[in-house]
Amino acid sequence: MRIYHVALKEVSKRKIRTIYTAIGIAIAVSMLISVIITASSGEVEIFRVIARYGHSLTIMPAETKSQQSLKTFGIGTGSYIPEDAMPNIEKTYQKAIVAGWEKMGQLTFQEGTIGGAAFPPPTFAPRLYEEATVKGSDVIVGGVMLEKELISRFWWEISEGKFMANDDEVILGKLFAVITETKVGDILEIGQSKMKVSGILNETDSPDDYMVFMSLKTCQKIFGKHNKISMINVRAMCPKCPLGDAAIAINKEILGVRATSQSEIATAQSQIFQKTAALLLSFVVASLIISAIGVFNIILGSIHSRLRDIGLLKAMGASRSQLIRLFLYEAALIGITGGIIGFAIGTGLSYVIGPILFKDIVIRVNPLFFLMAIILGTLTTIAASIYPAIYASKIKVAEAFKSL
Amino acid sequence: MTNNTIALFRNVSKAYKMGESPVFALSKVNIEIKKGEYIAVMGPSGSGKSTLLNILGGIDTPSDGEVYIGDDRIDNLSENKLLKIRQKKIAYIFQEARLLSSLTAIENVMLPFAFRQIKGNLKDKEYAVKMLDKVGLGKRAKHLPHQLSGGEAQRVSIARALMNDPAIILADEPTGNLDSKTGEEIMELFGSLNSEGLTLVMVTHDPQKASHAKRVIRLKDGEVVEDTYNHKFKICEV
Repeated sequence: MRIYHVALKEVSKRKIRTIYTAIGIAIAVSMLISVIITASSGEVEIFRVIARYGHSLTIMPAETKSQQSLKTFGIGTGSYIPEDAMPNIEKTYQKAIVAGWEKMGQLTFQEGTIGGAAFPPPTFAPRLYEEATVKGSDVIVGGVMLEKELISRFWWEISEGKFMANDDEVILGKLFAVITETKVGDILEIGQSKMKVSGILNETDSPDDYMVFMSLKTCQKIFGKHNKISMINVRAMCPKCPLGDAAIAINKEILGVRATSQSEIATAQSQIFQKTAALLLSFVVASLIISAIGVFNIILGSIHSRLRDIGLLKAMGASRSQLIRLFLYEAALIGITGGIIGFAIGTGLSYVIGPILFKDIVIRVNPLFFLMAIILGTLTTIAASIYPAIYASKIKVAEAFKSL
Repeated sequence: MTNNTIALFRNVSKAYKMGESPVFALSKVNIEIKKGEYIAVMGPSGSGKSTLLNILGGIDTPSDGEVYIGDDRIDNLSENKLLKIRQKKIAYIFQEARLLSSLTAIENVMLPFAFRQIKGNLKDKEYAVKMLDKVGLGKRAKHLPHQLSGGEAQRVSIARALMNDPAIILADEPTGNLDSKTGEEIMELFGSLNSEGLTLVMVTHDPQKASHAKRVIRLKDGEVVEDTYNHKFKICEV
């Protein structure tokens, strides 16, 4: 017979008190676990979005300041990058990213993985911009590699028709289609070629809305710009890739191009998310403190109702430290129970809350969260029980007997 | 104090403050308890019986005088030293059995071992079964307190008191909550334990129960007014 046997028996015997106390802890732990699971899973989702949307490089021809001003809106014509420079640019980019990771020294980079987590490879989406007059309106024609463009501009959606499937088909920006009253199936004369409108894009609130898109090869052919592209949009596809290093390397090693990193917005988004998660966590910690006060009251009440037992144990020779241990063992057992229940409820909650907060979230339950729930539940109940346990240990036997 | 002395009270007083003037629960009490004695402490309510027992058991301290358990003077001991005396030399039996409701009979009997800071082993359990057998409850070892009758529960508390092989057992109205037949059975058990050499001090107000003891000490207003030997037993030398 050891003290923890007595504690285990007491906790299992007083089921209602144990469950009542454990539920108080479980509620707080479940809130914390649901926030942590949702936040960590959501962060992966956010990183995934940031990987696609936020972290990008724009590579354009190096040009004069007056020419650059035309590019304020991300479009422009007149200067070109040789298309066959793309493999060299990709190679320089990859080399710089690997070197950047190694410089940070905290993650290992292998093909398709970063620090053990899988990420899709970067996408290099080239565009050729040319000015044209279509149905009497001046318009920018964009030649794109559709497959890569759909990864690069993943928000593109077709409102009518479908994406172009053949070299003689085009898709239109929404505004251009409205202004020129063009419909799916119409034939447009662009340069010397007749192109069929296969689809119209949804509005994107970007210059794309007033553009016409066709395949890169067709665009190069129509406008006589063989082997020429106007810009390359690089989607890093990883949230923390050292894009700044890649931009510097490209600017330094590839002549005639200028690479600009656009990762600041993504970083800001990530920081906002982390601050929001921290705020939520602080609310949860407050709820844990409130639970601890509840546990404190229950344990103190329990001690008052067990004065007889405390007197008996002291008369039997139980020391102060042994009595404190007995009550703290009981608290720990209640905390473990609360932690397990809290983990189960919290995990369930995150499956409910997660999809509401983040579209396409995949809930990831790390086994460490289970350990965290148990440790947190145990520490909270122990912290709340320290004073009552010390109080119990100080009760004098004679006083305990007199109070009966 | 002889080698045979188990406990000794020398001019022991216990005063409580009630307003301005002190009230004496015990006043200059001198008692020597020898090994193998069976003493009944009698007296009306408020005479100081329980105070005497509590001071003897080291769970209360006197205001004045000296208290010895064996060679150890306990009236001025620290809490830690006192608890070691309580662990090794003294056992209590209360009016109620005071069993922990969450533990079975045998677990309650083994409870003193949980606080002895000695690792439990199979022999402890064997010894606990032996003690339960001694009080006639070997077959009720796995029963919880609520499954036992009042007499059975009190027997379990007696088995528990025997676990540490104490020098002295202090019983405070041990049959107070029992019917007369069960009370007599407990008294017979006490007699049997005493005949095996166990020293017993029992507080009672019932002359019938006191008649089982070899020596009767009467208290009144905190003073010993009578200290006699029961002549139906062979009188030990004082």
